[in-house]
Amino acid sequence: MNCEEFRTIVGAEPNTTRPDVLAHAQQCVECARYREEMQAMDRLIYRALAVDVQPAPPIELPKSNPRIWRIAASVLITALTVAFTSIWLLTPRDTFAAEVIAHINEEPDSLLMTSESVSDESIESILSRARVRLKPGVALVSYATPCTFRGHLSPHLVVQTEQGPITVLVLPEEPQRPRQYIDEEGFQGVVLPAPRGVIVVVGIGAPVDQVAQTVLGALEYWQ
Amino acid sequence: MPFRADVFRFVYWLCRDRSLAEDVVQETLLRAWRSLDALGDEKAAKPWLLTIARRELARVFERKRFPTVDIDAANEAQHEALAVTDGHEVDEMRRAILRLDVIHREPLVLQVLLGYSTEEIAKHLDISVPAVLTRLFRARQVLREQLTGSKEEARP
Repeated sequence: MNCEEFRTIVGAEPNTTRPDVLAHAQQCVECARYREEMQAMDRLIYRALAVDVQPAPPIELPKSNPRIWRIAASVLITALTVAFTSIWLLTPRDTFAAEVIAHINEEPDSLLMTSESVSDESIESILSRARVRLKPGVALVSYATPCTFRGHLSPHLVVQTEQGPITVLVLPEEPQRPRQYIDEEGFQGVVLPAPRGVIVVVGIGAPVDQVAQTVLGALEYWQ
Repeated sequence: MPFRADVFRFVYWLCRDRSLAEDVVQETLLRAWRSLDALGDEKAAKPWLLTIARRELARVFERKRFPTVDIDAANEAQHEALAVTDGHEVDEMRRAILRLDVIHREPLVLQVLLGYSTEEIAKHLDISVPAVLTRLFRARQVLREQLTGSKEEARP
């Protein structure tokens, strides 16, 4: 793969995990920087696209012939309620991102910038409960603890970067889901499908995509 | 209501009109309710709703003849209407996205905001995967040019 091919692919899919793209990024500093720029631009695009959504407007009824309008409104409200409830029951809840941020906010001490690191043995011990292993030395892990998230004990790590700490939740018991961006309460992050469950990588103005790919590539799952 | 925000944002970024988007979302939900039996797989609820919304918006455009307006003035008006409190760079990006052609804006919204894969975008838009990649590349190229003034070298 040459640089032009790389930039063509990354220009369309900045977060692609194609092996040939990742291999080229490791060999070419300029292209690696280009990829980081495109990923940063994607985070900005996401924030720009996520415009505020107003709550559903109330139904206003004309004063004439109130009985007919009351009946019509009650039928409409019933239909909408049944529709919303049916679709709501048929689809997965979209509170995942909010739960992740709430969980992180419960452990504010984990988000301190520090050069201190957790030992490889401690990390291995915590991850092994989830039948996962992290290749040693892949990142500066300053915080590692098992946490209960959605009823399951899951590893909660914090990786230090020059731009700040980044939280990594390894959630092997969570149902797999496609890549999803998070932009909540000032946090930006990404949910990535993993060999088992998902991993969630969240930070504030930090290179979450880069850390997400690095950590996901360094995690080994066993049965 | 799950997906209401996704459907609203999708429609908004297609039509660039907040009140029209609200109307289309309401009509979309009603149509979805009437044809709920057509939803076979519950996991397909979101793309199903987006497809209905896209068709509904097309219907609205077919039914109505909207007055011709200056695109810069319209973009500025919509930008103000968003009443955002985000940072300067988000505002600039929003302005740049509003200026994108819809054929570039739509796949970008589907990919970045709604997490669609390239194949899913191709299916949704009924175009080929290479065409999707070309549009996505071009969309980012235009945004990058608008925000930084730099020119891309690679061409799909």
